[in-house]
Amino acid sequence: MSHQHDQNRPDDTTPVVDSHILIVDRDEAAREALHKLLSAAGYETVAVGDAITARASCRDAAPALVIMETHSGDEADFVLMRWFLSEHQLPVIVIEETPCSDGIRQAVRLGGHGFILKPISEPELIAAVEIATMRHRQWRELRLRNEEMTQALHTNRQISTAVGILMERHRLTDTEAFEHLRSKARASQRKVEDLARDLVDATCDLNLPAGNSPDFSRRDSRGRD
Amino acid sequence: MSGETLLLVDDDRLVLSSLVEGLQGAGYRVATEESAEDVIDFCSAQTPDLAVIDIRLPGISGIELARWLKENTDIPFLFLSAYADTELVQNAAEYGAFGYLVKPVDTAQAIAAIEAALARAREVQNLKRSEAGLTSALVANRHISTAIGILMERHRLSNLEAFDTMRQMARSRRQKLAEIASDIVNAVEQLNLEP
Repeated sequence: MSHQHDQNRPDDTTPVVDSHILIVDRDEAAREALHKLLSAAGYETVAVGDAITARASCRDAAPALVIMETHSGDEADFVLMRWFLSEHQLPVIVIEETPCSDGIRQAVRLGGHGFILKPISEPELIAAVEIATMRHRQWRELRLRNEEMTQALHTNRQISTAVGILMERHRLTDTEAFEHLRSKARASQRKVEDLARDLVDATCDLNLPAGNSPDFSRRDSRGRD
Repeated sequence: MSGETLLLVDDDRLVLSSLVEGLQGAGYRVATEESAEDVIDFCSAQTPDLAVIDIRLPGISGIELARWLKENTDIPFLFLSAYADTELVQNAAEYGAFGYLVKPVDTAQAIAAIEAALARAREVQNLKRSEAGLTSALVANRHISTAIGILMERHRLSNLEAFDTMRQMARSRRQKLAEIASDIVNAVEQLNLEP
């Protein structure tokens, strides 16, 4: 494994890549050529020649992007690509010697961000790196926001139910009820959502007859509604 | 490849004709325009799956056209250019391009870039749609959950019973659950606001 870093960038434009680029290619001359092109443009690279070293390098220090050669019909290449994409959520640019629509289709389906056909030109390589990095960053931010909103949806449900209980119990407005819950949480040094969950659970337990599941016919017999 | 509609935008007819032939041969439906103004007209009536735009168009530039597409449509795009200095490519990436093809463009290279752009753009669009749905759900669910709390406390109900009561109310009044919930919360809010 070679770790290469070029301090002398040719211009003032800072690449958007915020870590090194991992190059995976069996051919040493091809690895060296890729390293030269990328380092001349100001990128730091780690170049490896096989899947085992590639995985070890990735575990050791996660790259910002992977550039790897795939060979049509070689399933091992796609297994490695899938590992980068699913285990490490890394953007992957695929290099192919010969254009093969099946290979492209498979790499696209797996999540490949870009394709470069040999012989590699510097402008195409730099463009692929910059675009893949930026779009992957956008995808990652969107996915994170989705996860946070899904979590918020669950957390807010408990808090809003607790707010409703307090509104009705203490004749409070929505804002007053939330403030009441928040001050109680602060006083007991607990999270608002934890306190809300306890309040909802306790109210639920109180309102349910012991050992019974919710049943509206019971409610009638107890004179509710 | 899979029948998607592409819109190619270039003022160089030679580039257009050679790309159109190759891409149609690969199974895409291809429309062409020679200026950004024509694209704006085209996109008000049709929605291609991907636009492939020459970055240096006469009049409104390719970059400005990309900004218009981003602000006014959901059409993803990639750029075509004879130039690929880092600053230009970074600008293209920041404007939201899903690819950047350097002229002279080889058809095989174009197909690979187009397929990747279509797939990655679809993922981003799905995430954006999901985010919009979650935003609506957060607002609607907030009222539903608050109303559940009010009903639990008022009628001594469990969480599930309160939800079921509200659902029955919504059904009998032929209203949406979120509307009933909003009515309950607003009514209690008004009552509790009174001195």
